[in-house]
Amino acid sequence: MNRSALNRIFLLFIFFSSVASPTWAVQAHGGAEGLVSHQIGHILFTIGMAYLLLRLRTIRFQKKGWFEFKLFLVLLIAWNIMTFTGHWMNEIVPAEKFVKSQNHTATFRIDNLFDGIYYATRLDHLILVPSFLFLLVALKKWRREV
Amino acid sequence: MIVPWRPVVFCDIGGSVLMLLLSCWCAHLAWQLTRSRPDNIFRNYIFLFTLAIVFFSISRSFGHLVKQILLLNDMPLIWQEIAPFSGALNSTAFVVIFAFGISFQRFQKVHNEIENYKNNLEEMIEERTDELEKSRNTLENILNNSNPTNITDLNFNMIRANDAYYQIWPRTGVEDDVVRCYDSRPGVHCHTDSCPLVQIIGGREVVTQEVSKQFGEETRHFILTARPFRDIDGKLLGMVETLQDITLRKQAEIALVESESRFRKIFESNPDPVILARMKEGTILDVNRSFETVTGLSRQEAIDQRPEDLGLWADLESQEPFRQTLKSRGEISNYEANFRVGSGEVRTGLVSASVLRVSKEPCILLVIRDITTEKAAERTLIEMDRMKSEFISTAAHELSTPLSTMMGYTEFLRNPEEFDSFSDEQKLDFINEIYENGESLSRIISDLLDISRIESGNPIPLVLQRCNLPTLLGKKIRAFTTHNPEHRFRLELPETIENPSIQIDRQRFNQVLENLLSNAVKYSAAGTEIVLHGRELDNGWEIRVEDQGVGMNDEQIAHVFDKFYRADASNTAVSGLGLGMSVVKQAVEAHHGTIRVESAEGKGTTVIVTLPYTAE
Repeated sequence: MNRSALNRIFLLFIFFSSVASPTWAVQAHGGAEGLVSHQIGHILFTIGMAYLLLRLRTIRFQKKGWFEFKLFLVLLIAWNIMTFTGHWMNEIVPAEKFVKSQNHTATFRIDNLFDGIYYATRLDHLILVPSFLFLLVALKKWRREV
Repeated sequence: MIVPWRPVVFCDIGGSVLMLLLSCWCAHLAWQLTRSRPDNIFRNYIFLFTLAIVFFSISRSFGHLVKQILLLNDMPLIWQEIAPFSGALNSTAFVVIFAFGISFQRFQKVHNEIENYKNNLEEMIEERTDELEKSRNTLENILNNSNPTNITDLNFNMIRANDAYYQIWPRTGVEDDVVRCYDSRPGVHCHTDSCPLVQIIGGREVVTQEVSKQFGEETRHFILTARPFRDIDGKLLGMVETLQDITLRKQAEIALVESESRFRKIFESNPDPVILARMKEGTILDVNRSFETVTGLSRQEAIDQRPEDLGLWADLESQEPFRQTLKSRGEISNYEANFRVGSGEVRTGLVSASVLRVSKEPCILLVIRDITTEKAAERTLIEMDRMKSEFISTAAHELSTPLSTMMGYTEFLRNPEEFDSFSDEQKLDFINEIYENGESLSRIISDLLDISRIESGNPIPLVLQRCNLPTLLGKKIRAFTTHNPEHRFRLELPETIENPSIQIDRQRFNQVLENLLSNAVKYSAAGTEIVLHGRELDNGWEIRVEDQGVGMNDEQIAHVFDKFYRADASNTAVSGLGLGMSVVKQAVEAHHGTIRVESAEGKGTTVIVTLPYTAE
């Protein structure tokens, strides 16, 4: 490397150092970013389970337990979709829909299908618990086979 | 429509609690599942996947419970601070679950490969187990057989032996003690390079040796066969020795060797030539010493040769009938044939042969008895018999001739009237004839008595006296000249004689001269000259009787001194008993003199006699 090239690199370093600002150095993470990353997690979760289900569907399992495991996956995918929808709706549902009483939510006003779906998404354990029950049954059957 | 929010809260709290319980239960089952088969990669996957799900479920359920508790206790600000962490935990769990979901195929592939490998391994193990079982059975069969068998490791420790082995070589020491093979079965090969184990370690695949064991006075013999003893990977562990009892075979071999030795002694010591030959090719397998002596051929020269190639059969035509007879009967006795021996001489033999098997190969054993001498004796006997018959005939004739003459003349004497009719001169002639014929008879009888005396081993008695030899020769010439006027006689003597005196038996000497001169007369034509030479030698006299007669060939010369031999025995031949020359020879030799004959057919004969001055 010759002397002129070194001089050019030095001059560029001085220029960028003199024009630097905090915006370029540190990225801020707001609340929306946490939601997005969580939603991406749900999508990945769904893809992963869908792929697993797909692999299991193409393979014929003769042994017991696999049917229950597949049901577990299907319900888990459904739960993911439901929860993903619930997280998204939670950001846009108006606050006045929630009726407060003594600083606690007492009722929810459903004016349209959107509100109805939102309310249903809040009951996601109704899918998640059965899915885990199927997982439990599958594991019990597998263990019994042993 | 207004709907209560309380169900949402109850569902959240109840669901979270149930999820916590279910998650723990699932984690427990998954742990049990993977513990049951820790080597199963698929179960491990299910376990890890369940753990990820459980982690998500617990973190979420715990977060929701915390949220509801905080909200119910009017602490929403605290929840706002905690909520991002709960969400982040859930997000992390989602990513992990996603990773497990999409890596299922890889786990499955590895699982299948491992399962396949495991199945193959199990099949291989099963096969190997079968092989081992078979090997074990084979080994057991080997050990359980009736032949003594043992297994020895590389340190010479006998690790196994069967009952048959211990019956021959009993256990030593405590049953569980390790016994070295050279202690159990000491032998000449122990601690040497010919030790079977040493050879097996050296790379030999099979070692065979002969061993023996003394049982009192009995010796038992075994063939030991040692083979390598290897593990399934081919690594040498030791050797397996099997011993086969060959005592009976050995005894049979010893008996066979002794039998062969006896046969060999008989074969070798047989005074007659013996030949052992192959039946098919006729080539000689063996000959004895007598064969070598008689034929002049060494054993090495004779072996693998055919008798006809060696020129042993003098008469090849007699060989074929011999073979045919042997082939048809299997044996043959006293077959007479002529054989040519090393010197080229043809000898007569009686061949006896029989077919026998040597090493399963048909062979001929020939014994040849040389009867050449017997045959010659037989021929001599026949000749003697012929000569005897001829002698009797000749003697009868020789005796009857003068006897008839004498009887004819004596007939005149018995008849005086007839006798008186003859003149005195005629009467004198008659008496002289009787006398001469009597003298002839006397000579014949004297010759016979001399021969008889010689045959019985008695020497001819001599009455020695000193005589003047030239005078004796002169008288004899004159007598023969008188009686044989048809021949011319001449006496040749040296002009000066130093010592005419010689000590002889006068009568015997006259007998010698008469025989020689009468033979000369008999075998010479009328008118031919017969010369009697006499000359002095250093120590005696040489007398030669030389005629110009028919002479003799070599064979006649060779037999001229034989008793009863007559050169021409035909009826037309010259008369005589064939004793004269034999008597002459005995008489000359009794005087310590010599006699020899020189003759050629048609050119006459010369008989040369030498006599010493002193016969004693």
